[in-house]
Amino acid sequence: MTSESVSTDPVSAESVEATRTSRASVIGRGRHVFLLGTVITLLAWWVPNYFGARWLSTWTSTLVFAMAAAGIGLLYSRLGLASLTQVALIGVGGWVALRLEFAFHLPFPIVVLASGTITALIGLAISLPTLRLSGLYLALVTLMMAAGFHEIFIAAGFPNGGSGFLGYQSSGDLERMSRPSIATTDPAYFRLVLIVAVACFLLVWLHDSTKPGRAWRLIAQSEGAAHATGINVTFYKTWAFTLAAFLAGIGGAMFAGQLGQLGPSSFQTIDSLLLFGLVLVGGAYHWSGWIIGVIIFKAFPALLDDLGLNGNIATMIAGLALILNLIAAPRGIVGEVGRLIAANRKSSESDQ
Amino acid sequence: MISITDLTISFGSIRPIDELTLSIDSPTHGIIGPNGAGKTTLLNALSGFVTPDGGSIFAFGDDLGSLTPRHRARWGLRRTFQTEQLAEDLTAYDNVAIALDHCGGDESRSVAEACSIVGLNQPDRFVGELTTIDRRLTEIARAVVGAPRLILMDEPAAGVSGAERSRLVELLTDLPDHSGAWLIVIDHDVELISSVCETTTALDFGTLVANGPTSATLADPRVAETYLGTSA
Repeated sequence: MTSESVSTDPVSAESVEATRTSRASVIGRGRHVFLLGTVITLLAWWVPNYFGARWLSTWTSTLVFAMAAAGIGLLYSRLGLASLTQVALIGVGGWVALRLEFAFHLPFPIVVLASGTITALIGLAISLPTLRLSGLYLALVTLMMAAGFHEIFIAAGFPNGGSGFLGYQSSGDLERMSRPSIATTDPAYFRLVLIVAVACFLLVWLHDSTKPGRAWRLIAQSEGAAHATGINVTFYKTWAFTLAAFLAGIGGAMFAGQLGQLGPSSFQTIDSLLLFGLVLVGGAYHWSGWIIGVIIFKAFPALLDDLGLNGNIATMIAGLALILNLIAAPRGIVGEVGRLIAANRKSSESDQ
Repeated sequence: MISITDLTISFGSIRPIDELTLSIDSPTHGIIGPNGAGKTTLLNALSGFVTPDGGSIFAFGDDLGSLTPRHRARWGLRRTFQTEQLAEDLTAYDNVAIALDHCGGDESRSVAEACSIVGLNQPDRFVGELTTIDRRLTEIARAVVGAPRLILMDEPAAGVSGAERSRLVELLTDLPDHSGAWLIVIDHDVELISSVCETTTALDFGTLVANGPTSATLADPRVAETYLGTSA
């Protein structure tokens, strides 16, 4: 039995590697990085110069919630898991950041990283029992968790310089979370949040394009096949959930820095549900869809406000959009745009 | 050598595998039998997907039965499925790489080598765009990458015909030589089994009907009776 008899068109290992490197060319990747870098730089310069204080604040919190939305998109698109607790986890991250700030007055980056890590550990603790569930049951349990966190926020309050473990006081000298010295103004803080959000998306991309990303996708296809390929299914599912919680925690700390003080009304249960729905509307399978989802979540109500309309209309429109999405465009706005571009390219190719 | 001793599996009152004792002595082994004979259940027991009520499974002296599916994979057990289980939004190359990610050792076969062995010539295509035969080859490459010791295949030629089928037969026949792993194939397709496998087991109602060299098993009058419902 010779190697020539393996197939009718034998391929050598070298030629397999050669096709790969030519396709995923370094130049092609470099161009993407350059393009993305340019867009981010333009946003960092243009948004604070063009928008007034109120809209700048809206865009800053849009970026904060985008970090949590990345977690939603990751869990849903890669593992098929519906986590309806991400906004509550932003609250957890914010609570931890305020608590650490007032107790220890640590440098800002350390507070942010520690908030992310502690929120991730809380996410890990949640995921161990809940990830045994799937589908609707997981969605329901995570929604209940969001409700639970909201109740805790109401009961305990957010730290504002009080004494004791909870650090809450109803009157007296209310402390505010301080921003780092390089970003005390709102425009500078917007730029900082933009950098942190980009870093969060890069962290997701780094996971997604390597070993964990491959493992997640096979788990989503079939847990049986994943086991049979040597994947530790529980570990990788837990890792994804923990990563999502980490991102929400980082977002929470940045949110605390933006507003100085936080309140339970920013982290309502319905917000966790709504953000999840809008990530699906934007397109859960691509990072740009996560951003579109969060823009609809944050900026759309602000726009209605500007037009003198009740912001609650946004929730109704979001509900309609979700229904449309489930019926007509399961891959969301980005998925539809991608489909149109592909169809267009195909028809122009066939014209030639 | 693979030895299965007194293996019993039951789902409620049904016993798909009933005190089966079987030894496999050749690197290409086939398992045949009519629907409900217990072929897929046996494969699932070997993979660790179902827990037997009793009995043991040893492969090359190791107690496979005591390992979880994941640890069996790391030991060197691989399998393919009746319908390919691949991550659709990954390339064929990345699908193959998954096995190496989790079962790779020091002297592992690379993804490129695995693709070359099975003749997968477009490894950068997304699995969702591949033809049936290329999807099948991707799954086989995933079984071959790294350092496999035993590969289980569930109806590898289902839905494949003509030149592609003969290409697959050739690939499977040579697979132990190229991969260093033993191969156990389940199929209804007796022709495929007789071209690929040196030895074959026939099952019916979870019990052994015949076991031995493929030609002998196929010539066994009880096998003909099981398959054709006639006494020879």
